Amino acid sequence: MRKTFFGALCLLILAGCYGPVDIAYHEPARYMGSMDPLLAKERSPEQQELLLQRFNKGQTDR
Amino acid sequence: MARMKFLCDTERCIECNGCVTACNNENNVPWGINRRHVVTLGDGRRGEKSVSVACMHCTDAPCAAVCPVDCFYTTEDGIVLHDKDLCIGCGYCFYACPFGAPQYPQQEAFGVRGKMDKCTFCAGGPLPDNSKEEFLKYGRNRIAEGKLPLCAEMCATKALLAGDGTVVSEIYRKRVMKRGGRPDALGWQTAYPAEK
Repeated sequence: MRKTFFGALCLLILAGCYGPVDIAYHEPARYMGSMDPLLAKERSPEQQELLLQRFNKGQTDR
Repeated sequence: MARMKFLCDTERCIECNGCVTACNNENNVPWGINRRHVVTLGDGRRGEKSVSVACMHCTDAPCAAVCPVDCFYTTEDGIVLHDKDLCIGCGYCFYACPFGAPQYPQQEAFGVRGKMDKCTFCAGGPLPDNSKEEFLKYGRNRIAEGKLPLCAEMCATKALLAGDGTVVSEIYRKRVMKRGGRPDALGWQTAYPAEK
């Protein structure tokens, strides 16, 4: 009777040690903030052309 | 798609700090912060070299890799930006950055620092383009206006170039071919006559 009681107690204690196995690992450099509207604008070829024109206008050698 | 990069031609930089002033003025940078620095090696000696340094918008940015709150993102043009609403001012990015780009404004007494501030390639942050909120938090968004960073556009000797990496490297290649290893700065031979 006493052995059964201790056996059940041990099982109960061990059951309490159980934890979820699917751990959420931290994924570095995965942006968690709000979306920048500039990203959509950058995709347009017109914007790219505008920046290139600006560069050629002001930063190329004299 | 362009890959935006800075390049500072050390043969042309005359340490005028015009880029630093232009940046501070354009972006209303908080007192005590310089998003851009001019570093001089061998100051006052013959052959001294100056280089203008800010965030280099790394392809595999170490600041983004170490950030515990993941507040960094890279635009399709390769510009590394961050969200100040997420930043906790921990300073990890400062230790990770090889260029000392992240800066922290003093917020309170006893050195309590605020959220990280760094060069945005004049591209603002994750707020509506050219809004008042964006200007106050991140500075001016010149990229959205079709302009390039003011530091490079203001550079008198065109030492600092900012734009598509392919175009920038082509200009630098032509300069190196033209000068053939000789110093390019005007009056260099007068200021530093050749040793006999």
